[in-house]
Amino acid sequence: MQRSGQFLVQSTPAGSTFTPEDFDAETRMIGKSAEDFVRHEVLPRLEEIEQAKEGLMRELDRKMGELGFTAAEVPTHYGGLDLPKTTVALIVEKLGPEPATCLTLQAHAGLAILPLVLEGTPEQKARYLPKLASGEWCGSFCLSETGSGSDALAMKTRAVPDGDGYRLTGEKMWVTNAGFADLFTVFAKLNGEQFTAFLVERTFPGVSLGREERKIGLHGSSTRRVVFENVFVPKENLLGEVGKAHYIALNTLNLGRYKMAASALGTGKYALEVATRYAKDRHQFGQPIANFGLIRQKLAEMTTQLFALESMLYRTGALMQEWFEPIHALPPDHPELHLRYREAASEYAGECAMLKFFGTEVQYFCADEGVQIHGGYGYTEDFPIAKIFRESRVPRIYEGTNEINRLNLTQHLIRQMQRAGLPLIEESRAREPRPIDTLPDKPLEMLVTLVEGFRQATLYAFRLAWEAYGDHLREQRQEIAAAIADMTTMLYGLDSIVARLPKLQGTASDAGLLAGLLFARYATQVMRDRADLVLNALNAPAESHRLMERMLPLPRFNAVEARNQLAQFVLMRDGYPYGV
Amino acid sequence: MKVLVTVKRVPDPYAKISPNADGTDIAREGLTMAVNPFDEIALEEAIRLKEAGKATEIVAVSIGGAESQEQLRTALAMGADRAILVQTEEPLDPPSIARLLAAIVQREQPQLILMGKQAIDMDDNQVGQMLAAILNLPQATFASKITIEDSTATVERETDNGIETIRVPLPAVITADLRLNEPRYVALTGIVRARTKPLETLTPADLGITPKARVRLKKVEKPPARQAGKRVADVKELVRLLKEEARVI
Ligand SMILES: Cc1cc2nc3c(=O)[nH]c(=O)nc-3n(C[C@H](O)[C@H](O)[C@H](O)COP(=O)(O)OP(=O)(O)OC[C@H]3O[C@@H](n4cnc5c(N)ncnc54)[C@H](O)[C@@H]3O)c2cc1C
Repeated sequence: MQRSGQFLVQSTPAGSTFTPEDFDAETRMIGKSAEDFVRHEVLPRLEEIEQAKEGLMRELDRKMGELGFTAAEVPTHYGGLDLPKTTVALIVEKLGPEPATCLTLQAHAGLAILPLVLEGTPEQKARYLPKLASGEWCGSFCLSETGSGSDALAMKTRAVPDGDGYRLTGEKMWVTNAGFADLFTVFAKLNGEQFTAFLVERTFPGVSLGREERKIGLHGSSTRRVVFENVFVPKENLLGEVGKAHYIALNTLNLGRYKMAASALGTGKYALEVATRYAKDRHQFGQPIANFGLIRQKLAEMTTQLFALESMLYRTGALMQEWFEPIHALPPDHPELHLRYREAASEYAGECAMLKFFGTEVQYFCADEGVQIHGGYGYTEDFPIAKIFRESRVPRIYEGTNEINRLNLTQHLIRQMQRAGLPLIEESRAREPRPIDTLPDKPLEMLVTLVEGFRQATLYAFRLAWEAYGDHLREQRQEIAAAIADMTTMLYGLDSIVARLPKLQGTASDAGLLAGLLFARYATQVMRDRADLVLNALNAPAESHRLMERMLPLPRFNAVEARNQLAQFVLMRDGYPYGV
Repeated sequence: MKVLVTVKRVPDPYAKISPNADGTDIAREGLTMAVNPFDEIALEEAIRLKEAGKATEIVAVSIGGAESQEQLRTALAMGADRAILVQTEEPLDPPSIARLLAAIVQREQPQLILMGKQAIDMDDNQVGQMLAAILNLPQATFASKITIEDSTATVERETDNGIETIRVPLPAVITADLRLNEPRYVALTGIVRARTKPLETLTPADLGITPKARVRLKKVEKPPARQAGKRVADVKELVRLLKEEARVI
């Protein structure tokens, strides 16, 4: 089992990471099942989904239950499939073309089911999981309130003991699936201070719903307030340990963030696909706009970002799976099951936060460029890209805003250093005097050298920030913490691409190298920008600036030509050119 | 009643097809492959017969390379009970396929052979008919409705003149048309269950057959690009052009 953050202190052997090329036939079949469902059952009903037709999303959710999507992360003992995290991400990715359906699944199969899986008693699991896994029941996750979003722990919802249970009072905001959920997983303060979770059935007296929120997008997904008025919750419905619900909330969100990157990938690929087809069809100045360099450049950059995201996502999924795998072998009533789940679901919290903010920003970029390629038509509801654009805004906000997740990533690195002994400072000292004087000409060697430079630069920035702020970095200088998060992300992105390249075959291999170069170019600029920001904010001496620059040489190659070539692969394949 | 269903590995109907560089085949790199959609319909029908208590066992058969196992696994995931792959890397023509299938039928002795009316890659529409001829079995092609009673099948078939209803005694070969049913999606539970279902691999030699294709694929090329339309002044000119240029009237 690898520890989180290893990529910062060790180089990654080529071909050693899990990539989509490693999916076996069975997993591809599972992916195809989700793809067929979207193509035949969901996309033909876009209009009704947009109009939030009564009962439709519940019906689609039930079908996803019949097909087994909602059972993906449920243990086999409770009617689930216990699929690997990589396969779970693949299912979510394939639902990406319709984000409202995809979110409904994520809230049901992830946010509602995981708290039970992670911390439920065998009795609670036996009572609720089979129904939730089969789709007979739908679930939801009630954490946010009107006055507490990012600062979730400031919630006002209260529980007090009452006879054989508790009385719950409060109001939850933004509850996805609220309109048709049968089970609400509610976070509250017991006796006003102990953060505790409760399983509340919709039919418990005192539960009521607010109206549907009028949102910019995701019209097909139900988002409502849920009001609890002195609701009696029997004591067997207290979930997990009293006062320790932060484990439930945070670990569920870690896995949720990982899957948000998967939906971002799916939606982004779909944006690329519809934009590519449009670019081939649309003629201006007597030729398809796909012939124009500035359009091809967009297709190439969308592809590059998606390729990085995909390489990071599945790599992380497999690393997490190593932690979950041994748990599947434990008996369902093992007394330490919840502790093992806590370990597994929190180890990669930093990578999950990273995937969330990077993924949702890639999605937004693809949706935005997709609209631009469509010109004025992209601004009308007659083309699918308009809806994709609307749906792509909110992922940067929910499940922890991207600001919060940037801070989470850096905070996690500090934690890994302190608790897991990740030798960030030691490695930084060991690497410091190794700036890069010349970059090799051969593309692959150039990329390998750049990754090493990224690693040194990130560790160097981290060390300087640590020396200045220590533990207080997050509170005292969040700009620096976020800049370090960005550097870490660029490193992980390029590292994951370079490790993946040897697995690509044929034209995908050529297209992979092009995306690698283009990502390196983009990432180097981001690295330089953030490094400069950190050094100046820390009043670092000129010597540090010079050293940093020498760790981050700009790769020199003809990016215009590389983008044109990559766009050619995209046009040939009518979309994303690396296929499973 | 035992039902034999044929399953061919073909390019995904939604995939983009183009000739390869030297025109000897279609470009296969990165191409998604799928179960022939008409075979999927045949399989769905078999599963419904089983669900209705009329069929007891469904055997899926494919002929092709080792990679055809993927499509057989799909068939098992949909609901077939076991699968047989006749593994051969040779390019085969419809008569060779029919002969291999005939040998499988003789081995398995099914009461019903359900097939797609054609495979969407070559669109030959021959194997079902040839198989029936070799085995001297009744055939009902282009089925849009199948009713099984005792040992007879009543089949509605789509013809250019309308729906024809015929009755055939079993065993028989029935080929499925598009409107016979809508196949189900493969559920994840089915996929997981398929892990333990048997998949047997045979070679043509095991069946005592050395297939020899008499039809060879010579060349694959793109259809000619469509010409731009033309604006005509009036009906008179249209008729003249249809006569003289297009020569269709
Ligand atoms: C469509 C939709 C569905 C949702 N579904 C659910 C659900 O099912 N269950 C659920 O519990 N919640 C849900 N949410 C709520 C969501 O998780 C919150 O909106 C999110 O956590 C942000 O909280 P907030 O809206 O209160 O924003 P705030 O926390 O008020 O943030 C406002 C801004 O301030 C920034 N900010 C806040 N704190 C800091 C800080 N310390 N440092 C720097 N910047 C900061 C934020 O990044 C943001 O830019 C949903 C929201 C939406 C829109």
